[in-house]
Amino acid sequence: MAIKIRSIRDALRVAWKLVAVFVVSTLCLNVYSEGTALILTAKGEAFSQVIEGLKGDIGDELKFDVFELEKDNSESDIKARINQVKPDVVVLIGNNSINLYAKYQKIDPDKEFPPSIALAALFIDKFINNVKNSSGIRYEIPAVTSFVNMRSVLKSPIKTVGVIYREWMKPLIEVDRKYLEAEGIALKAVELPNKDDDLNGLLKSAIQTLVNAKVDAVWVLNDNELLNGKSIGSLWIPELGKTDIPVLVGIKPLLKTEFNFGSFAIVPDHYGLGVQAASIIFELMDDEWSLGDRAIAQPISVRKIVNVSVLEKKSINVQKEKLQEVDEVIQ
Amino acid sequence: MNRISVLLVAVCTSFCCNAKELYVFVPTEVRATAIQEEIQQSCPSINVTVFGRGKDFQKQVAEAKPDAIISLIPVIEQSSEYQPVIKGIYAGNEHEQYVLVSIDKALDIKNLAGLKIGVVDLMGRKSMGEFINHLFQAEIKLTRVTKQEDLLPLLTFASADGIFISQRTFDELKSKSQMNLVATQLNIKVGLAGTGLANNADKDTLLKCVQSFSSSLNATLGVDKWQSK
Repeated sequence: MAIKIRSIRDALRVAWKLVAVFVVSTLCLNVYSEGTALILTAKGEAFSQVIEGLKGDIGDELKFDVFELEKDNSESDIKARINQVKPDVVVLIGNNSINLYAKYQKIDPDKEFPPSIALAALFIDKFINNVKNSSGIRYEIPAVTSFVNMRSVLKSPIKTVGVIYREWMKPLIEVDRKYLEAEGIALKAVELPNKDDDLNGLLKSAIQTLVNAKVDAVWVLNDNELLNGKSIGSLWIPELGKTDIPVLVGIKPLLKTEFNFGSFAIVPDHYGLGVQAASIIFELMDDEWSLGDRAIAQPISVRKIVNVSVLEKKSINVQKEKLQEVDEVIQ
Repeated sequence: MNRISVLLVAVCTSFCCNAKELYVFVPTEVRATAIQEEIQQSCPSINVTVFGRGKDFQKQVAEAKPDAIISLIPVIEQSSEYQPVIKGIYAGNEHEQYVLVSIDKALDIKNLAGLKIGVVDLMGRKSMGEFINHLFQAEIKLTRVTKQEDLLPLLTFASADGIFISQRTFDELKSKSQMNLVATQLNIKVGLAGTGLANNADKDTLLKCVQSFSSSLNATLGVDKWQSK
């Protein structure tokens, strides 16, 4: 915008405005004196809750810049935003954000990148190595969190739980096994190959193995190859629906009463996930924005949903007073 | 007819605007809506809102300025606008013993520097840090969580070296977890839940309300009776 100066009075007026802008800018910078966080996120209710938790906890100790990614955004858009914002920390929400940010880093791989924290992204361990100077919080809820909660609601003991997984998930399953053992719960894990022409046939046999082993509960993983429309209708529901085994699922739709399948769902608390990320960012702030060798963290906060009708149909007794501790009870 | 309508509206408005507002935040594993339902049943003439997170409670209290609040005494004392005039009592005491809980090995309270201690966030980062530092008379590195139930996962996943909880909460935790939880005794006591009133609030109405709480509701709030100061 061109400014025309016709007299000394005009010049003084312009100078005064510039001083005012400078003072206001300085005051704003002082309010956000600790730094700037750039949030890269896709749109969605869950992601918004993560941001709400993050911003709510950090308050005005950081300045936030939220970049909602659209389908047509590219790595050069990220580059432009980073050059504009000059963030001290980058928060990557969702798998798309991680992928696009990794592509951005490849534009100039020798550059020094600010620390980044990845959240609300599936199987983060597989992707985080593509991003330099990054850590994060896993999205998948560890089995121990789910079964300790399930155990406190059920009257019958939970001593052995069963799971079916594909080969590539073995390291994650072994981590879960260790945590479960510390809580006195044994894990009977049946491994299937990553690919097979008759994966559903192997899956059916694996479910029967768990039923015959009389496990106290079954943990159903969110793996598209093992859990999809076809396998749910033709394998999981027919094989487990007729048993009295409580089934733990990772998504709420599988708790529908008419399925007579999932009885517990332990899902991420997205607001809590944002608060957990805030605590990591505060630590980074204290360490002068150095990530160090920070490992990927397990999610701490969850939401618990129980379908009491399914439990009743299966004659599984609950401690009714403990239902007050459950976030959502489906009757 | 119009006059009657106006009169009715005025009467309704008067009822609505005279209803006392009570905001509640006490860390517990019971969900906020269940507590709200119980308190509302006990105190039908009061509008009750129960918060599950300290941050939301603080924000709404500051914005809406309710007539009364129920929270832990240190939270009430933090506010200059509310006086703790009704105190919760448990086993004859208005304070309860706190412990540091860790896995397998007790923490050395003389050597907490560099250790992360998990706490439920009652007051926000800065105030909570000052509160805990004051209690320990030392700089403590905190890992804050929004819900009491999130403290156990902090230990499970080694996200904290210890957690700071009441002895009563520790007893509840032991019934939930089979990990080898060890309590380090501290010489620290923290006030139980209490009721704080705004300057112009009607104490008798609130006292009548909290004294009508059932024993199970009191247990959820960590007290066994209420006593006017």
